[in-house]
Amino acid sequence: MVIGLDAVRYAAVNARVRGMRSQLLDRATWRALLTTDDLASAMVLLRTSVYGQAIAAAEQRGAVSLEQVERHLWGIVARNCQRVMALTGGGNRALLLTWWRHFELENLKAMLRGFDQSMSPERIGGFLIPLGERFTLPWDTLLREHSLGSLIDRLVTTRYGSALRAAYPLYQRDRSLFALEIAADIRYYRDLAAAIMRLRGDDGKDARRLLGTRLDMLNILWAFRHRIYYGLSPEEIINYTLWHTIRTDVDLVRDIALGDDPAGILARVWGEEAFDLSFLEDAQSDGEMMLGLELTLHRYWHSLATGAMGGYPFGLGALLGYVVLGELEAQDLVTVLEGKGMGWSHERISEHLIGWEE
Amino acid sequence: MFAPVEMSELDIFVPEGDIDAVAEAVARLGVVHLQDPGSLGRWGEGVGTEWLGRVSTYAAQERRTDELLDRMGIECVARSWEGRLAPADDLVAIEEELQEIEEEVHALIEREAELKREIRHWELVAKSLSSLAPLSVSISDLRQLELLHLIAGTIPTENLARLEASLFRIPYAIIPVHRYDGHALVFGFCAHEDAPILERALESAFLEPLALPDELGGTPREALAEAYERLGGAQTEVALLQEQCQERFQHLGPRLQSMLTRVRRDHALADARARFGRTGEAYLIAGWAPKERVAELKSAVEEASEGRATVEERPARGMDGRARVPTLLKNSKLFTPLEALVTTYGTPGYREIDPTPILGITFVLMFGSMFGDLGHGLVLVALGALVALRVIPQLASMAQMGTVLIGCGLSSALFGLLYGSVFGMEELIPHVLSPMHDMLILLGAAVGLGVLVLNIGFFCRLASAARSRTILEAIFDRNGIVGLLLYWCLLALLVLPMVAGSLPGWVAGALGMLTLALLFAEPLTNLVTGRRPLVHGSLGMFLVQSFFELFETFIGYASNTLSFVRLGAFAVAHAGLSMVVFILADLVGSGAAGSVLRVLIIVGGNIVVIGFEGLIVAIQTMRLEYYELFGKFFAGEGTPFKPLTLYTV
Repeated sequence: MVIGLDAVRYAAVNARVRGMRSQLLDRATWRALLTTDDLASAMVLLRTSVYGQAIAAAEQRGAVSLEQVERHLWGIVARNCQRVMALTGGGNRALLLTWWRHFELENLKAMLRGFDQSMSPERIGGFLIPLGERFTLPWDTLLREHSLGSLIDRLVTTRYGSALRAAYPLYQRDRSLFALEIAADIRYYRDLAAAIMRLRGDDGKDARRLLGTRLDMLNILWAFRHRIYYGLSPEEIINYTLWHTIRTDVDLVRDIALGDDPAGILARVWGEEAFDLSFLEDAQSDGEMMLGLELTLHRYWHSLATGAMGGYPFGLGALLGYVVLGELEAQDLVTVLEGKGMGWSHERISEHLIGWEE
Repeated sequence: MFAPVEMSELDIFVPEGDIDAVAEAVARLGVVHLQDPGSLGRWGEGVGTEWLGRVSTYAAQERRTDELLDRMGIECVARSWEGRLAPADDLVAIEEELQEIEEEVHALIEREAELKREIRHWELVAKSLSSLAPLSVSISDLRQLELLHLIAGTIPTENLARLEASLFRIPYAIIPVHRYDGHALVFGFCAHEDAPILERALESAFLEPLALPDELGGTPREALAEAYERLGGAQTEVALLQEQCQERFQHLGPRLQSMLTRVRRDHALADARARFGRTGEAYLIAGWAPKERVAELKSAVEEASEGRATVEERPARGMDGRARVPTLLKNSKLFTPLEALVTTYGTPGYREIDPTPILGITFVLMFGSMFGDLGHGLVLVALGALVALRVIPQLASMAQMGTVLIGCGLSSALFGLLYGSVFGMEELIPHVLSPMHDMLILLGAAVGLGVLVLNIGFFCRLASAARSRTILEAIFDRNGIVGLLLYWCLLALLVLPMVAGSLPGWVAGALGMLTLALLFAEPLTNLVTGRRPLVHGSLGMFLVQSFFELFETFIGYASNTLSFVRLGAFAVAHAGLSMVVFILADLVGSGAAGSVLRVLIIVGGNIVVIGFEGLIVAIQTMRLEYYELFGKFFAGEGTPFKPLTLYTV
């Protein structure tokens, strides 16, 4: 009976999402992209794919820059996420809308950076992911604010208002955006955790598995980053990480802050066998270790999304799986384009890709 | 009536120098529906993309103006603006003016926010000092505690638990003394040697330190009095600033409201310019206009271009090249409100019949027959009048539907007189036909009305075919001439034996001939229209397919006709439901309370009948209109006429 009801709810949605998934790049295209000689040839190849419109849109602003192509790539991913959102209703829709808002968060951070560096509204506008006008902040008017302070005053009625207001004195003292960005991040991911936890039943399980894992990943990565890159105290690391996640808690963050290694932490959260941790042995420095950790966690997330798309078809899992795969594909494309831009070999680029395996 | 407004296809050729003036003149008149640039042929190749960029910039300027008015607390309504529009150049002028106003407004609002922050600061200082007021030590002593390190500040309440969890390495005390707007004013204490740890923890929990200003001295009580004085000063300053803002905003508001009109007009023109064709230095404005307005348009274009632009006019066909001629409906005031019911189904094609008047008459008639009650009908008339006269502001946008409600109410009232029913009471007035007692007659009459409506559908199909010059295709159509004759023969087959006692032989003969004609409708239609081959695919497959289509046609005629039985059935249901209300009312006890309850049940029951059953009857009427009537002749695949217009206040 439950399966029957699920089938009625999700059959059409699932078919459409699978249709959308077929538009993700196939292996042959990925191989061709990786083996192109340079950035220009990669762009030519990309122009013939579904991401061609990102290059066309970037061209409208004159000479094509990698930066512009990337932001339009993210624009396509955001639009696809909205398309999936439009297929759903109720709590699922609310969750997807909250997830979609991480693009808004990225724009907000880009805007904070622009104001911090006293850029013109037009220049800042060039860094924003095109998100359309629905569901989001009034970018046109925010860009016209005088200063970072007035921008934060202007945001006071939004979900980020009080968090940014609270972090602003720290920015004023240190002139560092770190506090503002982390405050906005924590605020956003608190909303995401709440949207995940609101879902019950199988949809709730899917949401916790796919998007909840993202929260866990971020919390672990942030805690390590704060310790390794910024040298923060344990108290600061605890305060600058997420309070509400699925599998991580304050004890785990405290242990990271006090010096626990990634192997033990990952084993505590996902079990001994979940990951290939050979990167830890190969890492020559903390920086390499962090890169390896990030890639390992993202590949794990990719495998969860692929599994969700191949699993029980009549649930939220397939929808979230597509959304995550689309996002990781865009991330890989950015890696390829930047790698090509820096003249890296295709082997070197492949090492940094999430969804690509030879 | 019955046909959309006759259109002319227009090509307006304009030299580059006159394009702004001509575009504005055309837009002011608001009679030209522009063609898509894709259908302009070689003229379409010169359409520049720069106008698309201007369109989005004007849209952004409109949003910014709206937002600015909102921040100033001024109603976001446009004011009149009179001036020459130049959508290519206005962009810069508007941007400069908008930026100037934005800067002034932002500076004032920023200053106000700063003062409000100062007020908040002094309020918090006062709050913290009032916590210390019972102490008789001086403020300077509190600043230099020997053993303890003290930090005061405000912290988001949601961060308190996290902060306490993070402080696992040192002994400390965090004391919240005042909570407000999701924040807490706290005092934090620890040993001097642990101060760096506590301070970093508090900072990372986004504590905003609240230092007692150096100029405050004496005991906490004395400092408190000083803090209140400062607070009063800041409050006075903010009040003065607010007055100044009010004055400036009163001056700037009308400027912005006029700018809104200008931006909206430029936006419309820029949007139109993105659809004008171009080759070299000449522009082409291609589109359609109502034929009766073309002379007016020509003189406006001539005047705007001082005779340099030319207008070519051609009669519009159903499809002009790749573009579809738009449809502008024109009905009498009585039927205009019902256009919305037609366009909900689809916009009539330019060469189609406009079914609005037919829908107007049949809708009201069928609704009344199902909802026949004098009292209920008059209630609907009263409700319709309230809506139509915009007495209820919240329903003002539905004023046109009020007229429909009045028509339905009047029809219900007339049928109520026929059925002898007033608010469900059947004894008050005499009846001609009682739904509960003359059920068979009522059901028969309903089917009779259905036959009439279906015949109207057949004739509309033929009229539509004649308008679109496809009458040959309509000869062997199931809803065309053969279909109509076959339907009549089937009716004769049923009615004549009952009325005359026997079936004339010619009816049977005609029935056979028409059935065969319908069976071979496709090859016969191809034969008369000259299309070849006569039959697509194999003959066997054609015969099987035609047989089942014929079968479906017969079933369709029967089900379409019987579908109208619901007219009678709902009339019976309406009477039955009203009867139930009275039975329920009779069941309640006697006495004063019983009488009150009885009245309440009768009133409540009637409200339910009017609201609930009225809605169901309306849905059933729509169903009959859309499926049984429109399905016969109405494709509804037209394009609504949307002329280029300038925003008007």
